[in-house]
Amino acid sequence: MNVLDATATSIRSAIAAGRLSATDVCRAALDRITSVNGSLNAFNFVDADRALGRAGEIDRRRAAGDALGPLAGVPIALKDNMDVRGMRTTASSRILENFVPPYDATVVRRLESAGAIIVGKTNCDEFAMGSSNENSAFGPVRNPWALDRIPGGSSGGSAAAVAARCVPLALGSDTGGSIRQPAACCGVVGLKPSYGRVSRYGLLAFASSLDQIGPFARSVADAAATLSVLAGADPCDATTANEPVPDFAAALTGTVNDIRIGVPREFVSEGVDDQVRCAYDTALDTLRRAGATLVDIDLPHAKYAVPVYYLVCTAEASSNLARYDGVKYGYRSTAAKDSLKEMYSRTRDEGFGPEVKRRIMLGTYVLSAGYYDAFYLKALQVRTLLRRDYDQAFERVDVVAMPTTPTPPFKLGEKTSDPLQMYLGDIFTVSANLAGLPGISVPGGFSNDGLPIGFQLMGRMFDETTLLRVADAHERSTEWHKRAPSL
Amino acid sequence: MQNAHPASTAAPVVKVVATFTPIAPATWRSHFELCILHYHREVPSLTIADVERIAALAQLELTDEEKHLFTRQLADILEYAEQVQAIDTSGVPATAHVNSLQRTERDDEPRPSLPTDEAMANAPDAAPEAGLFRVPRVIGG
Repeated sequence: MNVLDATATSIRSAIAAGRLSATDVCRAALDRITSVNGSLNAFNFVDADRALGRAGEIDRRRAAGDALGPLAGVPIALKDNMDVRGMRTTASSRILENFVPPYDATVVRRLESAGAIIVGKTNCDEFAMGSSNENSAFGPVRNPWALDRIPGGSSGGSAAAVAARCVPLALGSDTGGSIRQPAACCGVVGLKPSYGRVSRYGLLAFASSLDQIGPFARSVADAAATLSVLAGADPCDATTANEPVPDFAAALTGTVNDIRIGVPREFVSEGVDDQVRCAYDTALDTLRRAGATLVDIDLPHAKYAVPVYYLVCTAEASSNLARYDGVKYGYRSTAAKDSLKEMYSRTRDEGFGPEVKRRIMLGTYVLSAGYYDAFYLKALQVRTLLRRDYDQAFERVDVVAMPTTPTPPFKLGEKTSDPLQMYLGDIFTVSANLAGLPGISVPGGFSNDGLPIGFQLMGRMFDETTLLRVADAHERSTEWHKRAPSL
Repeated sequence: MQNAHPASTAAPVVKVVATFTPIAPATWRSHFELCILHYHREVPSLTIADVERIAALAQLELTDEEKHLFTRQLADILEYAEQVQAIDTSGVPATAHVNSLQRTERDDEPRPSLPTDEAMANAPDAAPEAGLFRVPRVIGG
């Protein structure tokens, strides 16, 4: 088998059976990264020695007959906003260019206990703020399917790394679509779990009521297996839920006869590219033919999700990013030596990029006296109405289906001068974060130009089991996930 | 494509019409209502002075170029976001957090934490021997 085309699950089995060594798999991944990263710019940092050291440990454990974890020997890349002790975390920002965290994120501890091999950190939009990966201080990531196109954002490097066969798995963070949208743009599977499912301890906070960590993979089964490793309550993150963590992969039966799929026709009717709509209809038809029932639903407040999202996430970001002040860690301006206040403002102006500043400004504005009620509080109330829309829909259906993005991946530079146009592209992904619901984007077709198109499913709170089962049934009936970019 | 949301270079009234409006477009009545909405906006347009005030609150020292750019871009975004103000939310509680009912207390017991030198290792100007961060003058100067 070509190890770089294999799924995480089959790599783990081959290592456990002695058909492959973890060291060879790790070398193959590192070689692939070396050969394609010049074109993609998907990685900010690769730690080959650390990865090979850990892979060697897996091989020794196997030789000694020790038990192997569920991801033993599987190479994985992490978005560069998650902490690995001793490995730089930059959030693709100048303000954290030289930050070396003194502790591991909970997801890192869980992955390494399961035997996964962390190969490095992937490029992203600065502090996870963006939908195109063009806001990185280290340059944009390029889409493996077409190097002049965006890979999506903000977890663009993780999506590109999985699509380009550098690694079978990667982690991203999703605040308003930052896992699902790049997964759609790069033709891979991207899962945002329910809010509270996965610990954020060691994830750099952007918008704390929305942020969630999740996996990228090339199959739904791999995403399910990874979620079982990541999920669970964590005393270090008070927002994690005390929900039982099932074996998500075991629930992938391929059966959807009992499933009712909500189709918000009116919401999906406007501003959607014809090819995306066509792929969406095809995916629905695939699931209907597999036995699922399609049910028209109404989400009357979904059309407000973008303004609500940008009012809420910027307010939270303006508060979360106050910690970057040139005192405790990160960059400090050398231009201001005379007063503390000047040092703060110079450091932040020199350290943050334009989109981060724009969001801090917008968030500060909507929280400021005189505008709080009209913007921030209003947005939180509409957020309640949006949640109620979904609560009502989920009384009648088991999952809700939507496109992931309104268009196929656009050209680099196409929307950089108009942030509002960039924000409008998030229309189908932000609802899941506002309502806390799990969502997944799976390969749903290709445009005439050969660009990937995603198909999105959203589930009930903490019902990733049903969500993954439907996504897997779709995968079993399609071939899209088998295509690879010719890079 | 994004044909439902034309570029923000259009004239202001047209721009309000072009957003995700809850009112059916292309009828005289809705056009009239939108004009009212436009001229009786609860929040006035953003000025450079507003941007300077916000930047000071956010501890950001912006260049003149950034001030001009952000004034235009933030005004566009806020004008778009104003559509939420037309929604009736009387009696609707705010959702700040989706699982806020969960109990989050833990026992108040000391647990191991990072040693001081590791906690301070990333500081641009630390005095770990004293357990302090050095900063420029706070008062006066």
